[in-house]
Amino acid sequence: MTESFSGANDSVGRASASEPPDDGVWGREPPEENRVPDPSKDEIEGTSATSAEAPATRQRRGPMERYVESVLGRMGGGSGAGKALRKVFPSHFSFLWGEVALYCFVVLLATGTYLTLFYEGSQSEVVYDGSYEPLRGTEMSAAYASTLSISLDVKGGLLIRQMHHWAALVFVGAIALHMARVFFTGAFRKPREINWVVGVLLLILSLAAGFTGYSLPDDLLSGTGLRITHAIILAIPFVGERTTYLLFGGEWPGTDIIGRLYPVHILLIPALIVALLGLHLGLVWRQKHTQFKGPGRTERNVVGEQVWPSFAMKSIGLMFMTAGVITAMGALFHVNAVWLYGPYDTAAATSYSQPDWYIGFLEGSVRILPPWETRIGGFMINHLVFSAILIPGAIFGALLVVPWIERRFTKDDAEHHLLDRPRDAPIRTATGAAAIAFVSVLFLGGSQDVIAGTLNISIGHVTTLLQVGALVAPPVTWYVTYRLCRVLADRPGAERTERGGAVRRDSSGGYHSVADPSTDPDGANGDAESETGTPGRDVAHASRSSETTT
Amino acid sequence: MKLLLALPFGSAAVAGLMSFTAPTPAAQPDQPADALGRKLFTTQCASCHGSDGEGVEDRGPTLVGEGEAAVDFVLRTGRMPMADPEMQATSGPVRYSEEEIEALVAYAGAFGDGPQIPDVDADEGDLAAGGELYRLNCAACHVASGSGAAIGGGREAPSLAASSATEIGESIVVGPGAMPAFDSFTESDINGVAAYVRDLQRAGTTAIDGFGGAGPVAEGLAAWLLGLIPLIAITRWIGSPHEGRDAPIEVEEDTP
Amino acid sequence: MSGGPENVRAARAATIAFAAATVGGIAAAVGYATDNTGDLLGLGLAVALTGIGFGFVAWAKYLDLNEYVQQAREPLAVTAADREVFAEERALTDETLGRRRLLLALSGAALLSLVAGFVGPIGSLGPKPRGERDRTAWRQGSRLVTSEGVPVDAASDGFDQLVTVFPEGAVGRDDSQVVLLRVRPDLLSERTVEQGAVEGWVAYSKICTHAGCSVGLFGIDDRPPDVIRQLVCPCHQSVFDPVDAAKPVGGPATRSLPQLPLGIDADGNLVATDAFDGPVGPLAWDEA
Repeated sequence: MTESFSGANDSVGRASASEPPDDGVWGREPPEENRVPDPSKDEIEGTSATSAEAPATRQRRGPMERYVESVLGRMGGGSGAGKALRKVFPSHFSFLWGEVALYCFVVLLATGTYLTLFYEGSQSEVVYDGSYEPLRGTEMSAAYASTLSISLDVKGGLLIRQMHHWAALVFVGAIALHMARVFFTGAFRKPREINWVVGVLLLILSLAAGFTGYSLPDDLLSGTGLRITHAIILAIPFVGERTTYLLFGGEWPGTDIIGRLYPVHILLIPALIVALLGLHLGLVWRQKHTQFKGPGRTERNVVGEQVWPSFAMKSIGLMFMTAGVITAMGALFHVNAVWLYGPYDTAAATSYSQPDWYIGFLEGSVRILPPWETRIGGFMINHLVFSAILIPGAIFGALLVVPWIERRFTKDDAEHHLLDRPRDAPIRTATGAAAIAFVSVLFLGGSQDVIAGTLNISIGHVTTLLQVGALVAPPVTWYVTYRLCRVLADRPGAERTERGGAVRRDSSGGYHSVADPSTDPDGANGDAESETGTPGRDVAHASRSSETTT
Repeated sequence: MKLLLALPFGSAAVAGLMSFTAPTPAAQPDQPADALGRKLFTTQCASCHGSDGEGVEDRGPTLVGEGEAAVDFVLRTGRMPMADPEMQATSGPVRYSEEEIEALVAYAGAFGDGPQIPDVDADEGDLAAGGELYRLNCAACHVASGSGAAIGGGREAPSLAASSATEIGESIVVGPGAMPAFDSFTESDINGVAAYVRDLQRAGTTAIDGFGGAGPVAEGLAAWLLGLIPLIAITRWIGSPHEGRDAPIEVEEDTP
Repeated sequence: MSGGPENVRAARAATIAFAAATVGGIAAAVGYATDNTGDLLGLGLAVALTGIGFGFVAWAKYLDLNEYVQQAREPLAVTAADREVFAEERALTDETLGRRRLLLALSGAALLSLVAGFVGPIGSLGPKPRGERDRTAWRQGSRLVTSEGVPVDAASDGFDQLVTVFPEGAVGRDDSQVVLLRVRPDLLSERTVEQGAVEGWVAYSKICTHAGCSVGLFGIDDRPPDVIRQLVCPCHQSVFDPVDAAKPVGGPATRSLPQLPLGIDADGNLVATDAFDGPVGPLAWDEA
């Protein structure tokens, strides 16, 4: 029987392959030399997959395998899928923090989509007629009214809204933790500089998403925050006033801003985040994850667990547990009770008016920077330029160029896939700690009135303390951290295990210990194939095959 | 939350000192009200406010023109008697009986021409209008949730969680302590605000699951302590804590 | 294959977790149906999610599989062969496209001008500023009214009073919000009186000159020795002195709150005797 390309596909329902079709509607058979070879029919030369000594596993082709193959067989994805299932990921717990952030984002997308079905992103005036008595008959924007409706009239709406808000608060925190881990272990070094920059951009986008999101209800608290944002943009030299007119459609407050923030929050920013996340995860996939030093770990390998089933199941489990924690918070704790703040009234204000926590560094900068203002000619560089543009700009600017600052100082151009313990890079760790100290003082500054009220100290004293702290805490922290790193690094640590090198198990089942591969980082004693990481070299493949053959 | 921390500072100190300097008088039945009022005033209040209510320098302000509303307010909320003029008067245990309060109010309230005790009926108040007035005039100091806030100079606008309607009305017309007066409020305005504050109290806006009404700061702390810390613990469980303790299993291929 | 030993406890824990999760999901559905959306719905969902997650992790971590394997890294650097390809492609580009310099230049100019053409519609987002910010609704003779539209009687006699007012006919207009105070007349500084205080009444723009929040916090500190009056902005704690033309005395604000000059009309109500002198609130860089 001729094994022709067209005849191989039974589902097309062609005539039996034994007879060449005529020249009618289907055309003629392509000549032999133009046919696309079909791998499953043993037509590719030299592939081991079709060798006669194929392991027994190949014979198990149930409906699932056939379905998957029919999809992959149309994309050339067969070997890629196999490699993907067997890809190794290191398993240190701090590597999971980026995943926590990712799963928070998943929760945000899901809950956010639900909210969009009820929320009205418009400033048109309506008279409230819902179930919340203290506001009945009050004039308010449709945005605020729909938020009230979600919170108090839609069954389950408050839960979803609170999950969404808690997820946002946790999302940025998880990003911060993840970023700190990457920084303090030096994972941003070559070849991961691009991914670091992508990560910082993701951080900025997450802040923007949060800010636009909590401004959507158009309540007194977030409206006050928008007012401050307006003033900050107004203060920009040259383009400030014009930019505010463009953004707000004229003078403050205008009737456009909420309607414009809405598509930014639900479309533009999420699209950018998804795109950058794709790049971020793609780079990690391609470059393989970093790992801590240890026995068996070199710059040329990855030690951990394979995607299927370990890593995938743990990741999926983490996703559910993250969602579970956020759901519990949404169920148990009130957050952003907008009905208390009332609709935004430009002549009203509330004390203890802070933004959501992650904008706290900006709030603190604006509160505790002394009243500095510069006049140049007839023009003014006012306080907000220093506190809300230059200082945050410097912080994020410094964050973006961290990999290049490190390279400038360490003159280290090599690829790094092994991580440092923080103590082994004392200058980097101390600098990072000092930066965190500075930013922490700013965060405290953002809540200086809450601190004053809680501890019964005057606001002025707290502010002065924090102003001093902003100058003193970073160098002190730097010095203390540096010394701590040196002290800890000098002690023999768990890192230097005495347990020796790798344990090898051959295909007959016996264990042998061999020389410590960490003294043999190039794997020169191993097979030449160890450079390529093809599936055939993968451990599990061999182990599974050995399992079935024994 | 804020209240829990402020209480040790405020009440204990004031109450402690009060017990030394302001002994509770024995009950005096059948005494004519103005005689009782004069007697209480002379023994309890004159040392700081002067025997004729004109005030004593560095001790207590003048009571002339304060009116009955002011006297009633500070007595009923336990703000007076106050031991230390350096501290802000905070609410605390009421030191006088109803009869004594009425006597003092009649006596001291007669100094000059001040506002009478307003007649406040929260049930008559327009909730929505009261809410608008509250947010426009009161929230700046007392916070949208009514939980109170620090307002600078070491002073605070207290929580409204336990304020009665009459106290609210008295505060509005008198402007006690650090608070300004709101003479422009009509009777129906005051009723509305009282109704709105009562609604805030009922809603339990300062309850622990609302994080004491302190807003985004408390919520941010909660996100870290109640959200991220458990999540870190979960990742600690899922991942491996140590790297490098054991050597990995590596299998030799028997085919090239 | 390095599978771990069957862990009985983990198996039991995972079983319980999945069972609890199932119950949780059902409880959530019941909660929704019975309007118990506070606790039953939310906690049911939380239990369901956490239970599933716990079950999967316990399963992967302890049962059937306990992996610890290694995989080689592929080199990431560009190889010599790659460089050759790039060099060839570069040479090809230079020899073909690169020779047509005029076309290159013109196509670049065309693309740029396309961008310029598209910039226009962005300008439609908002009008050009035409000095609207310099004017509020206050005019000479505007009567002060509360947010309910009630005029302010100059004879209203409480001291240390605070009222939020607007010009009559423009209640609620953002740029015209004014904070009106009454203090004992002898407390006001000369400058304040010169700028338009009358009988202890003094009015300032309520828009903070720092970042635009409403300055509604009027605190009177009457602890000895001196009584201190402060206008505090609740956003960033800028402090203004209400008895001295609202000049900034603390916090990040650098400019006084503009003062609205007051007078009393024939009916005894407060009126403005002039508009504000310049823009109110936070300023743009050329409004110094």
